[in-house]
Amino acid sequence: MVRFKNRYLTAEIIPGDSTTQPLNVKKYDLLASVLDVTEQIHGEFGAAAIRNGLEIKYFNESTQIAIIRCRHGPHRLLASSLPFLSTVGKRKVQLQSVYTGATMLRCFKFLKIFHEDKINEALKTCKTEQEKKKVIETMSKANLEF
Amino acid sequence: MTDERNKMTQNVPSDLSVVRFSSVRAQEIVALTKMIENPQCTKLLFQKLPCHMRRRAMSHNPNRMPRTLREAHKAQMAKSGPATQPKRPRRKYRRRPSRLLEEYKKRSSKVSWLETHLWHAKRFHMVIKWGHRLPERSCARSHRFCYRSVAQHCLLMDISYLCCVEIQGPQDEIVRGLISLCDPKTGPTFGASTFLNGTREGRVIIFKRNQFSSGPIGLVTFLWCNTGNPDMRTLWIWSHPAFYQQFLCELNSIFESDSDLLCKPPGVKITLNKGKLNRFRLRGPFAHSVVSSLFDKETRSASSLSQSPGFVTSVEVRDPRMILAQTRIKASSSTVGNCELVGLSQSKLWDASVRDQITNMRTSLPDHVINNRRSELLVPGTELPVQPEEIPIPILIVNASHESSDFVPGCDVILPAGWATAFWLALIYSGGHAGGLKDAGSMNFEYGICRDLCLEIDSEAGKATAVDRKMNLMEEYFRRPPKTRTNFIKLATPFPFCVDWDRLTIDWIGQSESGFTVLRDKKLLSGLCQKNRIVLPEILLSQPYLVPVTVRVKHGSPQEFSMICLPGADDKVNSVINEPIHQDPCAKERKMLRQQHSSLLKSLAKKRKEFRDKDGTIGDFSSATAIAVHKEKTRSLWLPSSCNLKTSFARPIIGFVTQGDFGLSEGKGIGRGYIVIRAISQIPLSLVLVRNPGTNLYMWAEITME
Repeated sequence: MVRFKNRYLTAEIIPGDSTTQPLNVKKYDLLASVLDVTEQIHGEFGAAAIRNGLEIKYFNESTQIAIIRCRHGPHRLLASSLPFLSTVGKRKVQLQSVYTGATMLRCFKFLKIFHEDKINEALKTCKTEQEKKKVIETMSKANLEF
Repeated sequence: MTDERNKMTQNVPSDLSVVRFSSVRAQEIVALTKMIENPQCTKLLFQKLPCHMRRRAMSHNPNRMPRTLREAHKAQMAKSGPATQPKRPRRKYRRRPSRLLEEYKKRSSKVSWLETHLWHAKRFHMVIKWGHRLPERSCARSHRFCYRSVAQHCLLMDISYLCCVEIQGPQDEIVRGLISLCDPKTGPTFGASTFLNGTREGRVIIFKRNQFSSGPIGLVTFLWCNTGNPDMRTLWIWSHPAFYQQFLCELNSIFESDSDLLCKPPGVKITLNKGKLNRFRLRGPFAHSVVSSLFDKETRSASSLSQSPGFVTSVEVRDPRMILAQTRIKASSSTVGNCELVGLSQSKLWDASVRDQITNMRTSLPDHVINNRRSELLVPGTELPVQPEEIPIPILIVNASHESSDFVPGCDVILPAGWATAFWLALIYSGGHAGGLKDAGSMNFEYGICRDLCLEIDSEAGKATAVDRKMNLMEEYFRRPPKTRTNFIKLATPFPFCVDWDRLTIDWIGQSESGFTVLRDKKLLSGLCQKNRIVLPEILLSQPYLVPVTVRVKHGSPQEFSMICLPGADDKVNSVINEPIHQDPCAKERKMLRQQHSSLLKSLAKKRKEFRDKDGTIGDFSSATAIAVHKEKTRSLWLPSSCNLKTSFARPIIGFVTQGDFGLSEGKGIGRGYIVIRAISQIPLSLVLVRNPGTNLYMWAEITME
């Protein structure tokens, strides 16, 4: 039997307007908007080609990471139409894709390193000593859990 | 760089502190690491093995996997249901000669097989008794045929299941020890002079040590070795396997304690010869001619065996496989017995080392070798001349002794172990008819012989068999639907499945400290048999003794558990007497109980259904206990309650029949049974009434004491 190959696009969701409201996005909305954009850019053919294996496999609101699955082949159509995505539901967002992997495991491995880098950068922007201490505390707690 | 920084600050909402940001990220990292470490794999273990290590058989045989992966593989295999049982090999494979032997060994490990088992298993219905698998009755031959074999030809039985105990030691010690086991009033015992020199076999009833009033252990036969100085003699005792353990306990208690008290060098030695000897029993007029076919021409023609009862002869014969006839021949009448005594000498059979040597010789000269040599003979079917490897085999021939008024000629053949099949085939080919346990029972019934194969009713072994029989009969009775069961309460049968002798003696004599026993004192019994009845002393009459009797009915026949009753004073001989139908007070109760029980079951079932629909479980409304309780109660309601045997019926019951049937030797219905001794004086003109269980007709019968 021929293998079904997938591609998992990890993308960061950046809210367009700097409102204080938390990003209240649903998976379904994101999926619909992705399909919309692809239809806009690549027409009916594009949307149909993607639709079969399209799914939002992972979505984390607090870290604003989404992993979108697509079949290998049509994934290029999807990847090329993602920069044009501007609204999800009622919010204005921008999708910045950071990694494309062939399995979820590879995406998770990448995400782990990504988050660690982010924390290190956050440490650098700490202005007070107290904050720095707290950050280091949380990091050590996370390490201890292992 | 600054762009990225701006983006980052844009990423973070303005009021989100760095701490919160980092803590969330830290949690994410933890979760991600966990997922990376424990990947959820959907593949089976063996798919992850490299191709060159995979084997076709590992789908059903986990031993083909590398050791470290074996357990995990087994766990995965177990998930798809329990393993199928290995396929049973096809019939042809199972019956290959090389495999048959291990199959037989496996089957005979749990229950012990006789040496002639295979021959019997193909022709007889087999039954498991006393730890052995024994032939019960023939598949092809009927009851009448076996009776005719005993009466006119020769019946052959394999009684190797009898257990032999060998006692060696000084004669006085042995006799002194064994005397405490036997009651001298029942007849000659171990030390009687007729048996001491080893020319005759004796039989004696043994009791528990010094307790002659409680029941006996059983009947055993014994044989002294006919040579040996008084300091070193050998005694063989053959006992029935049912009471063998009890007998051994008694022997050990006697001879162990004796040897403790006396500080002499080892006195008496007991050896168990359980598997070392075989014994065949031949009964019938042609028995001796069948046995003489085993001998060579000189012994046969020179003298026929002395046919005096109980006599023991030792003969050395050739291997019977050499002289086996080609076809079966009918037994013919033997030459008239001249009372010439065959020379007595120490039989080699008594010597254990010679016995073992002969047993080993059986396997050293196998059947197929002998058959090959016979096939090379010029005239087919003739005897094989004496072979260089042959050793003459010693056997003992024990003539049948007088057991009862009817004497049936016959003999027992005692052989060393391992030779049973060879001798059995030789005897069958010379005209013996094979018989089983049922034929032994019928010989005991018709003629009163073969008593050592049957158990006494007052012994523990006999009582145990009676209880077993009661269980079987009750199961059969209750298996029938209630409408077709005979109502023993209405038909006034106190003991339909098992006779309670204690109840009988209590009703006639009153409570006594010992239970019932059968009267075995020879003098008293002969006194009772005489026509002019001697008056028995009152002390004797108040003992709970049972006297063995025979009842003979003119029309019809008695059955097991038939009641022997006294005729009334005014009863005319051969008049018709009927027992009136009794009331059945339990009928209403049974009906009510049945209705109650069925409504209870229905309500329990309803509750179970409600519970299941509501909860999904059954709860504890199981009806198992209710059913068990109901079964016990109904069974007790169907069985007749205990009542006074003297007064509850139209005629007082004095005894019961233990074996009742149409007697083929006499041509009328015969019952062998027991009556209380007290009732003997009240029997008018040796006539009694006999009533079969489940009937209400009293039959007139003649009664005789044995």
